[in-house]
Amino acid sequence: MVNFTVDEIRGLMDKKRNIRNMSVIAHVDHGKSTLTDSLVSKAGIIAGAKAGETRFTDTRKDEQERCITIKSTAISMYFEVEEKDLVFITQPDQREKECKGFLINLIDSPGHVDFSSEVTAALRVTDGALVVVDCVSGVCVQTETVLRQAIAERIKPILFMNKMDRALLELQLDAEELYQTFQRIVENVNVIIATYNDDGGPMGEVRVDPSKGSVGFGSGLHGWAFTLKQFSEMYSEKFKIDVVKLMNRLWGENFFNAKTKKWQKQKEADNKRSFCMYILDPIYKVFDAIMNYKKEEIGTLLEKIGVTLKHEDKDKDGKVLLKTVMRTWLPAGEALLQMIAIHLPSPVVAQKYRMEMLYEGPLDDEAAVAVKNCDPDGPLMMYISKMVPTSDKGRFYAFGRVFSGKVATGQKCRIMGPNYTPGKKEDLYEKAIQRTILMMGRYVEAIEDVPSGNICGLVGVDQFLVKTGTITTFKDAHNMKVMKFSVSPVVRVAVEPKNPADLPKLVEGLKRLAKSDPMVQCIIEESGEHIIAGAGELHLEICLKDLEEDHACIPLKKSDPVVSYRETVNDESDQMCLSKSPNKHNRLLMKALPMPDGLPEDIDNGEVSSKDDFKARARYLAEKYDYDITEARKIWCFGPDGTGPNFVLDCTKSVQYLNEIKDSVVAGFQWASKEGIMADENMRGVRFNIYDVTLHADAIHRGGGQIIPTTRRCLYAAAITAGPRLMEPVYLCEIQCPEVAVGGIYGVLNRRRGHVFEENQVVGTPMFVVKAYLPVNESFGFTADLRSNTGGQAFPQCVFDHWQVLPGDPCEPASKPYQIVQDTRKRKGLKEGLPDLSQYLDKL
Amino acid sequence: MTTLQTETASGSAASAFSSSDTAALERETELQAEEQVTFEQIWNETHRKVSSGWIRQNGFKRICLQFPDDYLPHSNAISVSLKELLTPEDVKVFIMADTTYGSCCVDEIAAAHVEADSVIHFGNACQSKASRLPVLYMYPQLPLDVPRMMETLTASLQAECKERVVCVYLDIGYHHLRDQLGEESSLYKQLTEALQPKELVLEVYPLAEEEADASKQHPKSASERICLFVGNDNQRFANLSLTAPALQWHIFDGASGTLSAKNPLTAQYIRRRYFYIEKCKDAQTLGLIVATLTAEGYLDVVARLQAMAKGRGIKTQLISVGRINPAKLANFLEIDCFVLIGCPFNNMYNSKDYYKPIVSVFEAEMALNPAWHMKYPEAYVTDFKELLPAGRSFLAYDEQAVPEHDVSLVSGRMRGAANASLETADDPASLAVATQAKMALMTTNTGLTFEDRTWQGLDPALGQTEPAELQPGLSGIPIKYSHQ
Repeated sequence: MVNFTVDEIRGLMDKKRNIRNMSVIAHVDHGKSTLTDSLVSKAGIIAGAKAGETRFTDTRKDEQERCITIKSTAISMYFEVEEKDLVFITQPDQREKECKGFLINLIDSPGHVDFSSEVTAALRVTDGALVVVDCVSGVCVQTETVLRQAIAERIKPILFMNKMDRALLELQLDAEELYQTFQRIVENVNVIIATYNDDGGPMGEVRVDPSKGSVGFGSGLHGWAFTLKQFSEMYSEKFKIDVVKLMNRLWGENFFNAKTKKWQKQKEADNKRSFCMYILDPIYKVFDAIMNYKKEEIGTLLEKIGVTLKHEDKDKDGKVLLKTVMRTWLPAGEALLQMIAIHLPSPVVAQKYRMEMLYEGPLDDEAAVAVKNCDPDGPLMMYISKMVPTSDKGRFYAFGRVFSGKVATGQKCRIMGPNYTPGKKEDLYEKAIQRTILMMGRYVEAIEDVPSGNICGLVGVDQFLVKTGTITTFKDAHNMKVMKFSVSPVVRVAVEPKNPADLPKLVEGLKRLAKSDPMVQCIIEESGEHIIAGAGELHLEICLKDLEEDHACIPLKKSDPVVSYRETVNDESDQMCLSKSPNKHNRLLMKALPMPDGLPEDIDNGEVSSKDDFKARARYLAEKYDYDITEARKIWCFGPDGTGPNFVLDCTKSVQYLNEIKDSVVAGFQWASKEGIMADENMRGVRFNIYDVTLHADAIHRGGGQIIPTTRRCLYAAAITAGPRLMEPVYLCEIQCPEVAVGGIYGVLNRRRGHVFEENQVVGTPMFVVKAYLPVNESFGFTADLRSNTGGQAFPQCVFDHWQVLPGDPCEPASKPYQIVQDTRKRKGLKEGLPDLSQYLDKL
Repeated sequence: MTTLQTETASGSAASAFSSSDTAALERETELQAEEQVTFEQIWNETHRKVSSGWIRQNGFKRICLQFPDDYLPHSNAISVSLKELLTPEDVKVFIMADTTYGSCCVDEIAAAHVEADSVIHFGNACQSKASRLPVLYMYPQLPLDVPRMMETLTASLQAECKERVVCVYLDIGYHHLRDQLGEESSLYKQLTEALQPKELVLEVYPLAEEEADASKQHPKSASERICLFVGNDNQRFANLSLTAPALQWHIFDGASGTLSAKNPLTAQYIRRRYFYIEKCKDAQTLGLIVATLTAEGYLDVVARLQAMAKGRGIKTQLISVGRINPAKLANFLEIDCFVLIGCPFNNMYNSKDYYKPIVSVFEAEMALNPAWHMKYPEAYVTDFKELLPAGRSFLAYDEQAVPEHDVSLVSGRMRGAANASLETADDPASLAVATQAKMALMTTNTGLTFEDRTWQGLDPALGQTEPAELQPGLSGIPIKYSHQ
């Protein structure tokens, strides 16, 4: 029985201060979807008794079967907050006057690292994040990753300690131990927050604090939860202390002496920690009484905590009764709702400090101002963060957030893809929105229009966007910034249809797949291979399954996973490389040399980019990498694709006509850096210097036709003479395991060319965290291997970290790089063997 | 002839407009993979009779003899011999070499230079219908040990071919073996005996024009059949095996008398070409290279491609640069993809030396014609005539069906028909690009347009400079100049 209507939701959408856009983020298996159920059931969408089992936001069949969230799912819910709780919302922009209703747009995200692109997409459209931590395993790798991402996007976090039932029932921790565990998790989380957030920054202080009520405790599976606020409300009358004051007393170094009735600041023999005494003790008692079948005690306890069982619940006992009692006593939905309503920012508050992170254009133009004020009457600015498949095959809802203005059915909008630049027509379409819809987990509801500060879906926009985009009505609007993912698509498989005649279907399916996932890349390679690139093995597995079953609907042949390599050099060219143009009238002289460590990464991260001012860039290069400042000012271009981590530097001294051939040299460089000399892979970290150029006096004889192929040959010659090397992608692999399993991990890593660089015990637990670098190429089957070698106790999380030079000379026939080069060439249908320098190098 | 030897950028190359004399000497001829022929093989009694008869019958007066490069040593002898045969008449015989596009095509342009009224074409021919001059094709006559071939076939292929449709194709050197058309030929009977197929088709390759029309009746789609090519593994075989799908291909090499199996390459080849088809769809400017001026219908193809490109908002440029090489095409910096409109034997598509990809007409058709969307070709089409109305692979072009928007699998971006609805960008941003500082960093990567070039040639400053006044110049020889 859904206890709200679409009209009610639509009504609330205009009350922008009563909106909360939030995502649920956590490490894998910490219970996000299960916890979300509590809220969904409070909204009446699913029955209370089913909450925790349904995982309503896991909408796909495979999500339900595997018990893992794969896609992020959004759901809009309406709640009413009681008058007594509303007073806790102090900031005027956090609530509308005279309005009890709150609209919560919640996005449940996957926890597995392979799907963290979904998290990124979810974070972009929300303002707050509920960070769920399993209190048994504590803060894990992915907890840190997603939290870091959230802070970077200026998302305010609140914390929830999940799986308290396990701590009590399985681990049988005593109250003080449990408190220490909670305390440590809160500290850990706050350390991460402090690392990535500046308290003096625009977001202000974002650390979580149980005594403020921004930390929740409970069990999503059993459907109960509380914050200190709930308990202090219970006790405030008894103690005659104000609720807020009492909350402070219930956490931290506050002890109560039951005999003297005095609060103390230190632990003494006859006092007890207030948190244990007033909060944990009653819970322990309930658990003890019910799980040990102490019938009489149960009766008196229930009376004390004010729970009256319904008639049909009277016969239950054991776990079932425990669930029912706890759920009635401390309903999870209520606690979560209060945390969300009180501590997470409304769009009005959040957009003030998020705007500068979101908008590419000038921060004072009409669109920027409207976004900053979350102005529903300003120009429409909406960011589409992902595509959600519809029941109609091949079509998608464009899912995103309205930051300003109003998006309405039938409205004519400008749809701008990520490659749009103001003033140009590329990636820009002007079309009408067919329909606006509300996302409700597995259902959608049509809605007339959606004002700023809300999350919604659009119909009829998907054909104009690949994955993300900006929708606006403002003619001079710039794009909203593209999302930055924490993972990269480094694992690739080639697919081909079992029946060759299905090829067009495969191509069509790949196009659909490319849309449906924020991260996956579908590419046709020159070799004729159809490549799907994903973040990891699991990600690829899901993508392949989707492709086969939903998008292409044909049987496929899949290759083993392969990784792509990069080509680099390890030395300066041992000679000046000269290449002559086909007509012999033009000569180019170049050398290649490796970039200093860190520079390719700087280029990847945009620290050094083609968009910088050339003087600023040169200063940066000179300061950080000791580049000659005059030379560094004359970077001609980055490549491949105009932005890649290689560049051409003009080191010539007063050469005639040089400006005329620049376009041709750039074109040749883009070509050569995209298709490296060794294995036709992209180049990385190579700097090419042009030392001298001799050109024909007649313009027609130094045209593109002469210069482009010559540049390419000269660059190749320079690369060959500079000691070509291959680079392979490397994962940062974090493994959590008990001490006994550490030995097994080392064994597996050694066999796979991995190396451990950090090993830590997680404080207060018997668990160890091992951090290692592992070549992606060696990671296939790593998880299974690790499990079998550690008796299933070790769980790795692998994230692409960096590129690393493969030891060995690819020109040496016995070396491993040589083998890789040959295999790659063979796969791409190129001539096997090594490139012949004499083909590229000419004599004067 | 295999392909035009693609000149590697290594330096043995010819240039766009001029080349040093050494380059001409170093240039590799198109000898590759074709065995040397003897004079007797290309100019025997039959050849003489046929050619002189043909000339007499039609009363030709000025005859061009066109030779591929490897026949040139014999060219003079042949021309002398032909003149002798026609002594009573007053005929002029010219030798043509170094053809404009490829030696498989009849070079009518060169023939027109001497106002020839007929051409006798020797060697490999694509049999593209010449539109201006009557042409007689002369193939070499290579010897074939027929009994031995039958023996080999019976031994190794009979089991496979039994109760199947079998097609036997004769390469140009062996056309003479098929002495009679159809089932009358003795070779046909021998083959039937050796292979015992359900049905046998005996054809020569390439087919002469009139026969080609007849052969259209054959069910080409029958991919259950076995095909045998008599000849060696050359460009003609590659072409044939692409265009005629089969369960299995066999090659009987007439010179060495060996039989080898080769898998039909079509599926893999087409998968490979799909990359270029995507590139062609991505293109903003398409270069149509006309590499034939003789083949019938090339203008229709050009018109058709132009119409289809326009429907997708792709600009086209028509280019004719003679025999293409990387240097020539790299001069067209703004063109994203080239379509080569040439004869079926003109195969330059797989060279990696070209700056921008080159696709065949068929591939361009697959990219641009919405009727090919979601359709997989049964076989590759090398002859663009098949794609014109009345051709076997013709699919009507419906402008309405052009999908508006699409994801490119090469760049991962959206591509779409011109945004006609959008007003042209008239704000200063577009001007800013043009006035970029000369030595500033370049950021363009795809679709380099003229506006994006940092160097656009000398600034003529039209209308901004005063016209100069006429002044008397220097006259006489330098030593007598009155003033310096």
